[in-house]
Amino acid sequence: MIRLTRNIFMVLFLIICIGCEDEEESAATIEFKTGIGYTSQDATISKGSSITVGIIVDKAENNLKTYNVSVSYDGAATTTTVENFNISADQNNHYDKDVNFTVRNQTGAEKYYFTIVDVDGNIVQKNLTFTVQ
Amino acid sequence: MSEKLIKSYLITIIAITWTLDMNAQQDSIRTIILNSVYVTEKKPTFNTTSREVIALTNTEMKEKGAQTVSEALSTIPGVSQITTGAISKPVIRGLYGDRIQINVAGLKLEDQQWEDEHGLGLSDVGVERIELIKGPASLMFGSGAMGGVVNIVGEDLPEAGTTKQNLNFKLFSNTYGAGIDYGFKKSGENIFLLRTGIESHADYSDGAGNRVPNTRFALYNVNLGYIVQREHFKSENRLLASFNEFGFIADSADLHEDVNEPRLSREFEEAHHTVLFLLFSSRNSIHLNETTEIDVTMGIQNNLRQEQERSDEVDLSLLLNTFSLNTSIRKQLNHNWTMTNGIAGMFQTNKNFASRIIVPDASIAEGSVFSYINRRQQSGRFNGNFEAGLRYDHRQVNTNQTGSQISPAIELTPFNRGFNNLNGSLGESLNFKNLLLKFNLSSGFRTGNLAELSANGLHEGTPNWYIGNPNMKVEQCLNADISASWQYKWLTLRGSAFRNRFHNFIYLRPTGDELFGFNLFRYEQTNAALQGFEAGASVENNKYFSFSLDYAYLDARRDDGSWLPFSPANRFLFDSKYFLPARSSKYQNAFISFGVNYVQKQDHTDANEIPAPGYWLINAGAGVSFKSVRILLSCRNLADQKYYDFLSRLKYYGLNDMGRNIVLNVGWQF
Repeated sequence: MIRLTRNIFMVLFLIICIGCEDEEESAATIEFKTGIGYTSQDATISKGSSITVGIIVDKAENNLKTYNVSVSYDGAATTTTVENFNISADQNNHYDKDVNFTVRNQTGAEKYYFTIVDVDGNIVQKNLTFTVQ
Repeated sequence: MSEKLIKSYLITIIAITWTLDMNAQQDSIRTIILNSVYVTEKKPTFNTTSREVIALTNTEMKEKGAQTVSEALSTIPGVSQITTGAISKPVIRGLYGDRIQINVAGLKLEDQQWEDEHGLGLSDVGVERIELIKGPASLMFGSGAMGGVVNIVGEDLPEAGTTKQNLNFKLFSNTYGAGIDYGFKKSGENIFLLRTGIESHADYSDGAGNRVPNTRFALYNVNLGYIVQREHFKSENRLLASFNEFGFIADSADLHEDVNEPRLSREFEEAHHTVLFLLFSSRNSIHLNETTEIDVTMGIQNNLRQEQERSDEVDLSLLLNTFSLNTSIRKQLNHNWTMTNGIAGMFQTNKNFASRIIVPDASIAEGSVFSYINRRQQSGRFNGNFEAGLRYDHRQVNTNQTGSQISPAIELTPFNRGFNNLNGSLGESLNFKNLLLKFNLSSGFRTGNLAELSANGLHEGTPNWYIGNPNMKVEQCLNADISASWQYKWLTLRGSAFRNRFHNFIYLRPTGDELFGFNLFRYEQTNAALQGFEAGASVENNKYFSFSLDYAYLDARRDDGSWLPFSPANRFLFDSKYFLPARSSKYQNAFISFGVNYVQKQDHTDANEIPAPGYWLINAGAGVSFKSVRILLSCRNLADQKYYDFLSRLKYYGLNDMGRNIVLNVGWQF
């Protein structure tokens, strides 16, 4: 009896040791639109320029939940939200969105983050850096 | 790993062990002691230590109708609980999580306490009693024991040559909960212990009858013990396995999802976490001679925590493995003086297995040396006990590069840091006639946990982004505690006052900034102080009745005057018990009880906290023993009060705490 229960628990310990494999979860894909009028790469631009960035997102396993565009100025550790969107049920498999914004009327670096969050809180992100002259 | 697989394994093991032990009973039991009275548990007193120590027996926990160990502890003055629905963790004099230490089977419980919603998940199955030490105990236990220690004592050993079994059933009206556990103890040449149990609860309802969604939980436990006892040697080996599932609210959208689900549903299809916990502990004592004893305690713990929010995928999966070793030698120097010297070590690894990374993969090593002395003095009616000691600890934290599979851009920067600390304790207990006085001055420390040192990610279930600080200093505290107790015939008056001064107190500060659209929080440090008192009186006649009234007060703030988070509200606790005379030899130990908790309003709020109004709770209970069957009936929140406590994390969703809950406990000893 004692030996049996001891063996059972040794098996349990083994289960926990070998059973913990990486939970492979594939990420949603996020791509910038590249047509005319869209900016899809880091660039040097003039003060006060207007920019349009379009994204196309396809979910992997989890439905898409929110889309946020934020900017950090001159290497700051925090960001400011430019636009924030809740993704509706009819778009939570495939999401397509264009965002227009204007860079500051001063020189500096502006790094824009395009962040998609799925229903489990998983984050997919791309960024573009604009050097404003 | 599939939680269904784990659950199936545990249920199978519970079934196998149960069946085998039923067979063992038929085969091998030569002497079965049938007690006419249900065993009365031993409740130790702690008059010879300078610390404030309180014990709570398993029967007392059942009499109070507590669902978890945390809830049972919260019936002690000065102790509260932070709750997230059914998930709870104890708060001792305003401190919780990594600032208090939980000992199980002689080992420090290592279970990822760095999050507010990471509860203890411990039930009373296999617990003989809980001993609560208030105030820092780093001298005895090292890093973390700053606010107090909860020592969970496993089942007592059976008398020599006896075999005992018991079966306990529990029913909970509010959560439609049910639990069953079976215990087997056999004492021959060696001692064998077994305890297995299952408990399952649906969502609870508040005082207005509103169902609080996804607050269901389930507990599965298997405890084994094998004790070898000889004239000069004792080896106590315990194996604990538990698997817990707790639902939680990951998003305000969850509040509306369970509406059409059957009221009795126990499925974990919405957000929930699971914890698979395995612990092996071996406590060994060797009596070298009349004056010298060596203690060696070692153990291994595996804690696998997995969280699943809104999809079928596991988002957060953390495996914490811990190996511990404590060795001490106790020497009686002369009639009065005893000295204890020891070393302790711990090695721990943390590994992520899922897409969400909040804390990094890491390894932590800890080494300690300690020495303390104890002097006992007795002359006539005077008893004195003096204690003093020092402890040096070194802790090395080494984190690894841990990139998220989903968000490779957001990576945790690895670091390797060492922390050193020296702690001491000095105390005296004086017992003169009916008066007991205790004084204690102790220091404590802890290093930042993995979240505080290195978090960089979205906190699960919230729109909050946490950032840690790997350059944090060691958090230290110095606590002064004085308590007095005076007894005259049936009357006891008691009181204790404390001041716990913190340097580099680690806390989470909302910055007001944002990151990628999330609210940005940073772990920071400041100086703070927690001070307060507990005072009470009781009138006890063990034959007819007992009454007690206690009050607990706490003031917890930073040096700038702002309040610390999760400061429990001040409260009154009234308990009374009436013992009914035995009308026949068959019915014994009958009682009825009545209690009132009055919790004052709490408006001492930290940033982002919301205040809570005061509330009254009425509790009642009754119990009787019939031969070897003990029946306990208890009711929490008899008036079905609609309320929420300040320490409830569900208040942010506009949800209330539990309404009336009638709990039936039936224990059969055979």
